Amino acid sequence: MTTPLPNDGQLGWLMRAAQSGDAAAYVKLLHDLTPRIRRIIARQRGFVGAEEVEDLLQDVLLSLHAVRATYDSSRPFMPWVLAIVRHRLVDGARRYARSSGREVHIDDADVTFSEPATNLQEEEFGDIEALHRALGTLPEGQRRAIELLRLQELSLKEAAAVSGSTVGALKVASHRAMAALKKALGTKGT
Amino acid sequence: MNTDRLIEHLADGLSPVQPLGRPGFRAFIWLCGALPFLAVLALSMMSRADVTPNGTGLGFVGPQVVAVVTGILAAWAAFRSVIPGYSRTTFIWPVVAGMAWIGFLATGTPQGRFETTLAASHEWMCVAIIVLSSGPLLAALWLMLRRGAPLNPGVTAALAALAVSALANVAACVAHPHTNNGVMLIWHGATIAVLVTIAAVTGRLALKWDVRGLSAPATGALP
Repeated sequence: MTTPLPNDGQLGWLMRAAQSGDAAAYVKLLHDLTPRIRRIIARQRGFVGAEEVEDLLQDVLLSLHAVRATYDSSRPFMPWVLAIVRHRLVDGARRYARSSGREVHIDDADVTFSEPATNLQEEEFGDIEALHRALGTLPEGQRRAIELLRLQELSLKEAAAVSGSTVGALKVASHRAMAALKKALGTKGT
Repeated sequence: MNTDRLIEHLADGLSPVQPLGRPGFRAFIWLCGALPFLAVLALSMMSRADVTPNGTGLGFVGPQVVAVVTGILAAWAAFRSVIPGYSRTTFIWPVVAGMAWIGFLATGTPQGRFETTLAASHEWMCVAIIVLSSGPLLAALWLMLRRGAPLNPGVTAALAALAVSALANVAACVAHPHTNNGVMLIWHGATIAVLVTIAAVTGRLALKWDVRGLSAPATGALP
């Protein structure tokens, strides 16, 4: 059985709560809205792929968040949302038209030659599941270092601030973790 | 970035916000600052002897009243234009009032004196008053408008410029002598048209969606 979609009044109530700083209400509101907005975008931009629909959806959510103070609780909620969606789609189409006018999309070109002998680095993607498993075997400190530095791409300074560790300790943990991962995955080189 | 993670990220950084007031109320607040400012400006430049040719009849007062109405309607429409969900028909009213202002002035323009009207070089003072007094008023309006949603930035900026320049035009009309309505129509009208056009073209640069700092906290997480 599917959960019935909240009506306009309930959504408006959630937005009022979000305006007061209620994060739980905000998460529920955005989760309730997301499928509706995604459907609208997919219908109006039928020619774009699922990834671009998701990009547009996220753009709408960011915009909605940025102007949440403009919602007036005495007015209906969905027309407020739909106006934002409509204008952001128009902005997106305008951006697309501008960029397509000066950009030429080409297939991925080889930087050198496609022959393996001419490429020093192995560029193939490995087995993600194996990487997950290998990450799981790392000690907590090393796994955290990899997550912050390699997956979230934080700088050493930022990662140190987030983890509460030192830059030096993070360097060591990251180095050891990479060595352990290479060993576990059986890869060569750096 | 995954949409669910974006939602979590937005909720994590959620802070309480004060809902914006109704557009009419916000326009009223702005007018409470703008009208006294222009009144003081006009009175400080006016000398009773100078403005005698303006007269107090309908031919002079009528266009001023319509210009004030245009300014008020344009400010109200500008504030409505940054709130999602309002009908766009609101934008028509200041345009209608502006057309009425033009019509009022055109009917009061003496025939066959076009060259004299164009050659009224002292009107550069009025142009300066309109442009210079519009600056601080437009800045205040911009600060208030940018708290809203820039749905139609060009339209919003044009309405804001119309509100400001229509009211500033009244201050210039009151402060200086004008031999006939044609002078006001050509000189003041052209100044307002130029300001509105510039605002319409540059509005997109002045009013933008402010989503900086809201996007992905980190990318590349494993699925």
